Amino acid sequence: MKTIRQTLAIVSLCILATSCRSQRINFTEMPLGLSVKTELMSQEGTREKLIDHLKPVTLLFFGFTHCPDFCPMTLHKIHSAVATDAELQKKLALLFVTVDPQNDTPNELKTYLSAFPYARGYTGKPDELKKIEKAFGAFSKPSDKTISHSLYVYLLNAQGKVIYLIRSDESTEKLRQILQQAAAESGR
Amino acid sequence: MILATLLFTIAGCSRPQHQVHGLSFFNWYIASPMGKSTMSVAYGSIRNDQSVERHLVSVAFSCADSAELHETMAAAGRVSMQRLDAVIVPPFGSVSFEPGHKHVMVFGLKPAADCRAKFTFGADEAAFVVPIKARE
Repeated sequence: MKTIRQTLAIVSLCILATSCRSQRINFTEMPLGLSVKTELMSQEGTREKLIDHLKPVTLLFFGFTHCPDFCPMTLHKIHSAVATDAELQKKLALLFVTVDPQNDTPNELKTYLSAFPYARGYTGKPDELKKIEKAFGAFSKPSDKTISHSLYVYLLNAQGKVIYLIRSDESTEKLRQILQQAAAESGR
Repeated sequence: MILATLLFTIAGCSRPQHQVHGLSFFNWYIASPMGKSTMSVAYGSIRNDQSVERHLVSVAFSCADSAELHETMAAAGRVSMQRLDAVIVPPFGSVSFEPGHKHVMVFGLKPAADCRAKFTFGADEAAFVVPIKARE
């Protein structure tokens, strides 16, 4: 009898573990994100309100074009996550905000992001970029030939507010799941 | 330990680009820079077939001004890079240089079809040609 109870307990735990793994993510609006006034210089060389470029699934990422490892890895991971899903690509916007305004001109950003059709690069004055970082609870700092910056890719809602923090080192599969769920929920 | 064994097995299954001094080099390449940057990164793995650990102290490329060993660190919500003085390749083990982890930073990359890499392990050196190509 004891053995049966133990077996049942193990089976229940396994079922619980499996269901947790495939559980839906709870997107919750956080007191972080864009304001309706947030405006920067786009990769086209024009001042734009970022809120005008939101799509059903919008990601915002702080990075820089001379970032050799982490930023390209993150961009390629996002691309891999949506590569086989044309519908998801259509619904996706990636706002790439530089943390290196000294080097990242609009043209540099445009060239850097040219392989990612859903991405749009933004630069600006150092103080306005710092203000945006602060609005996302992010932080960047030059250190030894590079710039340390936020680990997260921010998932935004239709109002430009953060609803989920995605670690840049998250797996492609998990990222795909997050984006697909966000796309599905945006259509409700 | 399991990961090291797995890496050793995976590395052992593919054909090395180069073998010398009991070391095997796999899948080394320099990633084509995105945009106009001349800064890039090299990835690959090294397998040590000997019973003593080996210390990789530097990497140089004929197509670049300089190169450094680095590791990307993610902590406290931030990502940063740390320069490494050396990378230890354990006895009968492997070390992987891959996106988001250990990598070789390449500075002043010049356009070239191929590039000669030189890995220095104390008095031993390993030199072979690596491609410059899109990220995998």
